[in-house]
Amino acid sequence: MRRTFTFSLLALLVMVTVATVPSGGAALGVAKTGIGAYGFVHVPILQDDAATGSLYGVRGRFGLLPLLQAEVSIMTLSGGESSIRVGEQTVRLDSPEMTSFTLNVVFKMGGSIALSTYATGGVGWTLLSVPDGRGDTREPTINVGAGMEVGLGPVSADVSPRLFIVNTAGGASRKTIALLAGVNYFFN
Amino acid sequence: MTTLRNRVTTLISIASAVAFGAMQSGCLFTSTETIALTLGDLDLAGRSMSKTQVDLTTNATYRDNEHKIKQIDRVGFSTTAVNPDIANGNISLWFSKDATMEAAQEVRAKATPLFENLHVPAGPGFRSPISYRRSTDLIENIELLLKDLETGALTLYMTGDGQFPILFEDFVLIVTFTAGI
Repeated sequence: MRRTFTFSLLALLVMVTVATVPSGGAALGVAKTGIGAYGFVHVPILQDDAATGSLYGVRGRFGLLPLLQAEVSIMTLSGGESSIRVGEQTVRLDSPEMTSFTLNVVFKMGGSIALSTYATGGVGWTLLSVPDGRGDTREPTINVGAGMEVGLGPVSADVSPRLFIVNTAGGASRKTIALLAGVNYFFN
Repeated sequence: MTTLRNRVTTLISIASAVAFGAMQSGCLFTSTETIALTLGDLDLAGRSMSKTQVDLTTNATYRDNEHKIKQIDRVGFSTTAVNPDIANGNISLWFSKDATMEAAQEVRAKATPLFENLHVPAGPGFRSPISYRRSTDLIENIELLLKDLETGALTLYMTGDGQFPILFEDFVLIVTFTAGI
C-alpha cells in the first residue's frame, strides 16, 4: 500500500513537471549536471520526543532540460534531547535519527544564470531509528520545498527550506522542516 | 507572462501532488505526544508478588487522543528502588493484559518480563534511582510492551527472589504515542 503510494506519487510528480515545463527554458542555459554537499538545521514539527538538530548530506543533480533537474540525495538528520518535566525531575529523550534517500525534481522558477530560484518535490525512503521504542524501520518519505541558488562559473551555493514527511506505521508520520545550505559543482 | 504562469502552475502542481499524496496516506495531520503516568509506589511489602494497574486513560492528554492513536512509539520509566531490609534482593517486573493473576508462580509462567532480577542493595536510607535512560536499557520485550500498551491498559506484576519489603518509589511510566490531530 505504502509502496504503491510512493511510486504513484513519483510518477505524478514527473508527469506534472514535464507537462508544464515552459518553452522559455533556454534563458537559464543548458541542462546542468553536477554534485553537491549541504548541511544545516532541521526543526521537528509536532513531536514531543524530538528536538531541533543538525543535518548533512550529499547529492547529485542531473540536468534533464534547461529548467529541470533530477536530484538524488542522501541526508542524515540528528536531533538533540527533548525533555519533559515529571514532578521534581526532568526526563530527557534522545531524538529519533533519520537517514533519508530521496529522488527529487528541481524546477528552476526564474532568475538568471547567476541567481535563480527553484521549486522541488520528491519521494524516497527514510531509515528511522527511534531509541527506546520501535527501533530501526524503513519508511516511505515525501518532501517539498523551494530554494535560491547563486552561481559563479561551475560552482553554485544554494539555500533551500524543505518539508519532509516520513510516513510511519499505522498511518502516522514524523514531519520536519529542514533548512539546507550547500554548494554544488557542475560539470557543464 | 505565459512563462510566469507556467512556472507558478508547476510550483503549485508539485506542492499539490505532495500534499495530495500525504493526505491520501492519512499521515499529514498527526502529532507525537509524550505523557508521564504516575503509578505511585510499587511495593512488594514482604510478599512474594504485588500488582499495579496501568490505565493510560487516567492521563488527560491520552484521554483527549484515545480514539485517534495511530501507534505507541516508545516507553520507559523512572523510579527509585528502596530496600530497607538487611539482605540484598533481586526484583523482577512483569506485564500482562491479564489482571487476574494472584500468585508469583502464575506470574512467572504467564506474564512477560519487563525486566528480571534487578539487584537492589539493602540498607536503611540506601536508595537506587533508576532514570528514564537506565530504564530503557533494562526493559526487555519492548515490541510486545508497545503493542500491549495500544489497548490503553495492562497490569504490572512485581516479584522477588524472597519476601522482601522492597519498593519502587514514585514509579512513573513515560509513554510516547502518535495520534491524529
